[in-house]
Amino acid sequence: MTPRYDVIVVGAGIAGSLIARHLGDQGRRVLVLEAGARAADPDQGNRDALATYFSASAKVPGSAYRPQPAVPWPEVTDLTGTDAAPGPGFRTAGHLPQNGPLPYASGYVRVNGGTGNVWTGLAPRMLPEDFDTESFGYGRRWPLDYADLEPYYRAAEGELGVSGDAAEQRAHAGLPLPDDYAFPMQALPASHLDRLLAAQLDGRHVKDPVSLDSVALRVVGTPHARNGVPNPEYDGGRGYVPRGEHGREDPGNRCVGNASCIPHCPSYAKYTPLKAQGQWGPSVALRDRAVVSRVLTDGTGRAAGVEYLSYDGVATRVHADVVVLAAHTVENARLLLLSGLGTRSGQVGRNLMDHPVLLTWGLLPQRVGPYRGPGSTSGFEGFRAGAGRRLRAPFRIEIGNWGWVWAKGPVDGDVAELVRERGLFGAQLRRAVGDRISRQFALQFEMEQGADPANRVTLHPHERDPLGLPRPLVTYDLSEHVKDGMAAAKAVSDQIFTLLGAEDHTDYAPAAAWPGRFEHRGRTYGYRGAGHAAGTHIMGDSPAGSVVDSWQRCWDHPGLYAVGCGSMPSVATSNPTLTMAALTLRSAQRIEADLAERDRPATLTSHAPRTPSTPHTPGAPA
Amino acid sequence: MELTGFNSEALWSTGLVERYRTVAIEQLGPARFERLLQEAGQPRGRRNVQGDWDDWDDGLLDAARAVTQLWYTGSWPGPPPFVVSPHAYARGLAWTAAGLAAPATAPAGYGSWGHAPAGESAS
Repeated sequence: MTPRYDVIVVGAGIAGSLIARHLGDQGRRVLVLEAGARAADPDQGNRDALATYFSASAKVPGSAYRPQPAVPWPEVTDLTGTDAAPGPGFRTAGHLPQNGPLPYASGYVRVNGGTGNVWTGLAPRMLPEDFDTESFGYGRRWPLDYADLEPYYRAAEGELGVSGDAAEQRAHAGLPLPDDYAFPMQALPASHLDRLLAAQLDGRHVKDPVSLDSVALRVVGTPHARNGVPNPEYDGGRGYVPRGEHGREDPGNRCVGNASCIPHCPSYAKYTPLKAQGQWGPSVALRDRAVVSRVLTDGTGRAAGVEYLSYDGVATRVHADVVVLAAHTVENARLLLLSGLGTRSGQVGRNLMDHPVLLTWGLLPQRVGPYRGPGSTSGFEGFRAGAGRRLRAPFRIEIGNWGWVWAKGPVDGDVAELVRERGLFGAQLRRAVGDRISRQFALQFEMEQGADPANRVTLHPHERDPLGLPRPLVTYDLSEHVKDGMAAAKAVSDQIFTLLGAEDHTDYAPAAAWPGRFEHRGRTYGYRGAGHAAGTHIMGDSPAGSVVDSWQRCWDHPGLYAVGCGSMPSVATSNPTLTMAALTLRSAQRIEADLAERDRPATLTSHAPRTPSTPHTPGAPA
Repeated sequence: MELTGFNSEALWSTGLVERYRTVAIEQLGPARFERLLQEAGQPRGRRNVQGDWDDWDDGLLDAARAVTQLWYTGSWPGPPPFVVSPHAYARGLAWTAAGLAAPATAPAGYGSWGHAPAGESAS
């Protein structure tokens, strides 16, 4: 007999693993189906990931994992820029074909833990004004506001283990944190580069040529989901214990500066979904290599279960009262489309967003010591908010601690240039390589991209993946609003470089290396994708214009949830994982309430009656 | 060795000399590799303004560059490029030249990234 579950979760990434943990804590029977492979022995998995990363020629986000032919994933190297007439263009290969004017420039990863294994680990909150950009003339309004989400932000910061400085976030990042709020851990130390920049730039002003604002520069620490020194004031003085390997309490666990957070943290300091999985109760089961091909519904449209395929194509059906899609923004949309569900609004797959990132890079006059510590530890927060948003996309500036790796690839490229183009050998080469690498720095301008229904995921009309399922097809472009934001960002960068006396090496060439390249008002810009896919099952307050409600429930399908960044009506300028985790915890509470409601008339089901209860989430109101 | 700017003690201390010899012979062929060893091992007086050995032909120069890149990065430059081994990645001379360690090979501890970088290690 087919076992019946309370909840089926599709995808064992950050959102899916968190949902499973919370429902498992309530004793709910949860089946997590993961398309990717799970390491049979997690310790061996950790070592394999590191060795695979070391041995990879292209140290891209998926480089810690061996490809599984049955479940391909898009990698940034699938995109190549071209110089073909009539202008900049790009080609795609692999799992994510595209047909838009510009590329969606990010990938994702299909392994146990998902893209949550390879994320940077930066965990800033969204700003209160980010929840309604319609008042700035672009994007989509959320059906909830900052105050609604605030308790869940706290809970998410506890769950992920966030290091940060509440006073600094209040004073310089525009967050209305209460005076008594403390992050679980103290702020991570600023990098040497952050300190060099702060010494020269704090208090200086730059002109934004688009908004015409004069903006004061200030280097501000970024909250991290990465272990630091526990904060004794956390949770009303109860303190916090960092979690390490398998999510176990490990009071001494700290970030030790491996500088490989993307794709792999060998010291278990960065939060990954594997930590949530390590805390799963006995009623949660993970089935890996299970590729969900469609959601099953009953005659009324209510979710009834899913069908999944093994890697050799054998189909299995499993049933539950609640189905949670947590398979990534692109794959969630693909699954809804494959299932023909959520179609009333016509918005499934639409409003695809990312943070397109304008990169600038150069050499400081002094030694920086790049490639040490997390990829970014601080940023400039002064371009995220305010009326300037009407005129150009807002942006957050990350200070890049890893040299030119995002812009130009690993240091192998520097060596190749100095050996082959400058013809250096011997002592000259040694000096030149040392000088070139040790002075590198980069700025990463993460632009907000507003929801636009034309940017979308559809099913490819004829391309199939190895299991015979239609591949997702992406159509994507950048608006004038975003391009004006990049123009402003470049002008801000130019002024910062001048103030620093830095040698600017920014050059979006060769064409092949910059698939995301465009001309705007006579200048050429290049962008990369931050991997922050959002928007394909957009949340709203009406079934006519949105796919899910504020609880991430699909409007027309009771029992079906689509969770993750795909629900976000706006991506704002903050790295979205913390917001996704907050939304997920809110949905977990809703699902538990649904199940408690189901169980209340005890005689009608085979389940024992349960007392509804609210999971304790540190920092959240009871 | 004249190509890398690191002395033989520094090169031998990586434990990679034999492995790189094998890789270079496989990639270049024994004849070209032998010629490179002989030419690169000789003290030379004539260099052009770029510091190149201007009496080398293109084949020899290309071989010298590939071997130099191998020592600096742990990768044969290709095409297609490949990383010789995780140990080779860790011991790339580019990191030594910059006074740094390859990511994830020698983490220096909590907060180490906040300190001024050490100078290039002597070798």
